[in-house]
Amino acid sequence: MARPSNRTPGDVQAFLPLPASAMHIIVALAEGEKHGYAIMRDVDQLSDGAVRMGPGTLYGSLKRMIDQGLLEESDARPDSTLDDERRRYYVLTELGQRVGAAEHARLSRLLSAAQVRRLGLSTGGAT
Amino acid sequence: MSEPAGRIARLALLAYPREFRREYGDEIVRCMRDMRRHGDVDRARLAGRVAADVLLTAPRMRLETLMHRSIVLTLALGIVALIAAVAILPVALVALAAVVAGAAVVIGRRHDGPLGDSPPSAGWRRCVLWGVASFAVGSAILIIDGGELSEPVWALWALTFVAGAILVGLGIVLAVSERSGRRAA
Repeated sequence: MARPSNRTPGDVQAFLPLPASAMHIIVALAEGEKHGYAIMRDVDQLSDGAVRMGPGTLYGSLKRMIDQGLLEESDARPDSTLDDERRRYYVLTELGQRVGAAEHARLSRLLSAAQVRRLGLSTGGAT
Repeated sequence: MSEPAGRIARLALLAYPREFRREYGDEIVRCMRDMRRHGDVDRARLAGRVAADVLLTAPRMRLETLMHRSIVLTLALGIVALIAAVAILPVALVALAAVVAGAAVVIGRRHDGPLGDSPPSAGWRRCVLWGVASFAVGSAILIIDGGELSEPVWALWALTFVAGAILVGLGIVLAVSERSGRRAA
């Protein structure tokens, strides 16, 4: 399903840092294709309610990410008795997976640096 | 989502650009319906969330669409201006040449007077002959190039046709003035 991409690793770096909404969508889709409302609910749960996307924000982000080649619409449809077959499902492209992995690595490095510098510990903030 | 709520949701979608509405309008309405059915928010809170979302996202999308359109418009206008410049340049040159030639003919006639060396009928005949020759060259270009004119060939073709038209026109004017001069004499 993922669209083959000819982009080089340098092109992947050009997407970074990803906007928070885009990274949340990528993480939500990392476990497989989802429809819009499922993505919205997943993002809400992933962020403990800190990132709440309205429909306009969600579909605006989805459209941008599709235009950038990070996502695509999935052709697969679930059993129509289980779900509304008119729903559109979204899936990560190969590029989207690589960009997500690169952003993951970037954020991990940042968190490691924050740990090394004991960010939040010396000032009595949250651990 | 109930019928009036669905209608209000569709109305809220009008804030978004038409392309986005067409592409995602049904999905957004379906998503709002899911939020109402499966979410734990009441109708008033949901309406507030959706309204805030529309207010935050719609102007940005409108602006993006507008900027995209203006870039496309600027590019299109630039291309049209370039083509117009390429098209007008040979015509302008021919017009300039015609004005200079016309002025030279008029000055020459004044200096020579009615008793000049060249016969009075030679001017207009020469003009018409050169004009016809120019038309012939233009037609030959069309035939040789097979009708699919590239930019330089098109410019040359336009040059020959415009020059031909001007020369034939000038020849007719000269012929008429000569005839009227003869009648007056």
